[in-house]
Amino acid sequence: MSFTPTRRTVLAGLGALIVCVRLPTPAWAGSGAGAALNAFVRIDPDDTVTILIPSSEMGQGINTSLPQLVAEELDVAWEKIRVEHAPEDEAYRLKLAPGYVIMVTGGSNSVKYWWTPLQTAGAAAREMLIAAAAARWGVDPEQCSTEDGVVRSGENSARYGELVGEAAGQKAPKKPALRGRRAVIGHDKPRLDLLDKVTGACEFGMDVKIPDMVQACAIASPVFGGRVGAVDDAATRAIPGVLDVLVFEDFVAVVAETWWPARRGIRALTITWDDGDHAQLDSDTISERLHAGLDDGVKANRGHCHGKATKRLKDGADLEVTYEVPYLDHQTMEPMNATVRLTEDRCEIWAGTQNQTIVRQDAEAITGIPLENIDVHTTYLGGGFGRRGNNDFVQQALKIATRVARPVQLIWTREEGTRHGWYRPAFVARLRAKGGESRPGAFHLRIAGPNILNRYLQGPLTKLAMFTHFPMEGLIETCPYGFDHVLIEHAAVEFAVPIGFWRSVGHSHNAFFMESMIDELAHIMGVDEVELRRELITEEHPRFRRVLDTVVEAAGSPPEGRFHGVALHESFGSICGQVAEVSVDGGLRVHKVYAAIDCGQVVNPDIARAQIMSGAIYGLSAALGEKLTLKRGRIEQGNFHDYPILRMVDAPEVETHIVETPEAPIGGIGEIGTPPVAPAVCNAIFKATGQRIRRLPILDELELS
Amino acid sequence: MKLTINGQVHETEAEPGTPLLWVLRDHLAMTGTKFGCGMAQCGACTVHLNGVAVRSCVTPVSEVGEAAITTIEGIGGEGLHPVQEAWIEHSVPQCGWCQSGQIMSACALLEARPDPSDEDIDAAMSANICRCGTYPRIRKAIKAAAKRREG
Repeated sequence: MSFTPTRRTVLAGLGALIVCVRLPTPAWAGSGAGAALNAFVRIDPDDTVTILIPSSEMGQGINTSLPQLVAEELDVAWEKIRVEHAPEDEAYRLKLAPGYVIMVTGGSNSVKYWWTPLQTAGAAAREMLIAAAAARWGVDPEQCSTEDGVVRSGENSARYGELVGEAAGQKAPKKPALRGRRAVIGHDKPRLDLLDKVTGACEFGMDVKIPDMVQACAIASPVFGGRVGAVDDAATRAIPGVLDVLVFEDFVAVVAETWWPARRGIRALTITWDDGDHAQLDSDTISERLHAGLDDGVKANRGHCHGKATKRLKDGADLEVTYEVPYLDHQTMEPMNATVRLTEDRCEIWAGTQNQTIVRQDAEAITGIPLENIDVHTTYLGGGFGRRGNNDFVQQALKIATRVARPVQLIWTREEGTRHGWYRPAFVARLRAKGGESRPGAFHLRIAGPNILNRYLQGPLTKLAMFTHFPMEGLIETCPYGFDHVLIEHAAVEFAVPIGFWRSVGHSHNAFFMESMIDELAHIMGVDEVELRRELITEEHPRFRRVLDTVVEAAGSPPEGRFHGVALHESFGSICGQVAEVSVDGGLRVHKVYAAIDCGQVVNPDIARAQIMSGAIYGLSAALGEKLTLKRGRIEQGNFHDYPILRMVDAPEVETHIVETPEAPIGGIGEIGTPPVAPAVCNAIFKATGQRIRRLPILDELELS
Repeated sequence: MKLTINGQVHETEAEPGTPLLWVLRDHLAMTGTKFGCGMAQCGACTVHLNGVAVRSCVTPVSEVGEAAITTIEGIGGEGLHPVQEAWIEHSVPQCGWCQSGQIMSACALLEARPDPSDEDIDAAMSANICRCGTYPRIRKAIKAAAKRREG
């Protein structure tokens, strides 16, 4: 495939075009003959190329796809590539908004953001190697070429490893030209972490071993915002191996020589909690208050308004339906943990975190050690899904470290993680709509729930539409449907329950609302649901049409006894269409999910397919059976027996078709498979049974005869 | 207490009630075996005792006795087990946290059923949770490993 960078693709990478030439640490600059050529590329005399990864590897394959961007322009054999996680440093921060510059992995941003900077880093390093070779041979750099880690000119040739010392002394090019080659990008390079992940050698946060380290377990108030009252720790202190019981304002930690006595010690504590103000919160009152937000009398933010939807609905709606989704937890397979070594003048943190800058700032605030003496070592993450963007567990480890003389590793139990998450918020939605011949006569969608960003941003940023419209993401700007008369609005209803970024965030509920509702409209209008989508997709959105056509064609007609449901949604700059194939004989079964995606260009098709499979199964697991409930201010679930995760026996095959639009900006991959799966499955269930699922999870609602 | 792990004898002074998982991870620094739930719900901690897959998070070390323990670090002997090779070939792992347990369960399955059906795979592998949803690739890799072992 040939490729010419266009203005749009170049712009997609703006904001991070400058490859920082300052080297992050002396160690990175290298000793002996090996050397770093910029903040991302280091080459050793044996030709090993080490690439510093600014994003956290949590399964999405970023430790492979980002090196592909570098390797493409650097021109090295894939087998020579090694990766290291970058330290927290200016060079690796993302400029997300004015004044909001942090090293973070989220929003399916990594390839989008680093697309140009990392190709540029590869190109810059290559130019420096060529310049070194040209100087050595006394030739013009124009007369040099590269191939798989070797510079050549006429009879001369030299390996990168031989040239790197001289190359490091060359001036870093200001604007290295990208060759736009496609020998690495767009190809199935094997994941660089495969071997370590099948042999148990991969080092996750919990696998970190620091000499003389102690281990800790902790428990916080089961009621959000509660405080520690009285603690009876006599039984805990009697457990062999227990070293100390530490009482903090809002949690208690047990420190022991190893983790098991610490965990036993937590169980043996008798703690009287001061519940605080939220001990009356329960799921029923939350649901009631959410539904109250659907009343037109309640103030709402308008996301999109066109035509005369409310006027046309004055005399009543042809379709009036209410939807509801529950709180959800990320449930990463690796429980939360962090390791801290705190000395008088240094603080080192080992953690599987998605948010290094904030970890470092937290460490400064908690320990009083100046920022320049704080190092964050990012390990592999045993799942992230947005959970590890919150550093509450690292903060606890830091607080414990201030009161323990030895390095300390904090590990939470599964139950602690379930009860102290940053949940996908519960949301409700109401549609009032008019039917019509081929196009709906009016579409008024009101959703009610909290704005996650309230917990993360303050000040001027909160005045921007990106803030106020956030709960409506996926329903307004990126929605491809051109209704003639439409009003989409959001009523804010806040609760004292921690909420955060759960894989695909607001898209996870908004796609369920919109794509189920489109099918409901098609049904009352008596038109085909795919045809209605085609009718509503505006001319400015040909990519949606192509994705829809691709997935519908791939799915074909369902076999006897099976039923197809369709959904189409854009999130994180990429479009994903899905067709779910279900049957209901002897219980609901999702046999297969067909998917089509358009994310512009794909860096690694195999990883992209793996991510769509992952996203769809993650979304299906939630749609089928996941639900958190609150009673007396407490999360009622704790472990996998009462928060069921989808297992092998229920896992569908996922078949992904990739549609490329090379001239389009690069889109994300890690989250886009999640939003369409719930509506696709519910639309298929309607076809199979006539029952419309308007509340999740499905298995709580579905009535099969 | 003496434990035979991957053919080697290890000494441990762990309390008898300590789950094998934590003896492996914290006393012997063999961290390939993972903690997921602590109540035999997710399979991340799966190891073999005399070739049988068990959940080490609920197995007190005192109950192991002289049984031969095999962990992910030893399942391939000097190299890689055909299951590990198939896992690489099919690019199964994503985050990777559950994969030690998945591989240990798959190896035990293939010992019992060298040519497993889809139903056999469902039955043997549904005790192992993968939050990244790698199940379809696990299924393919198990079938590929069965073929490798045959050949």
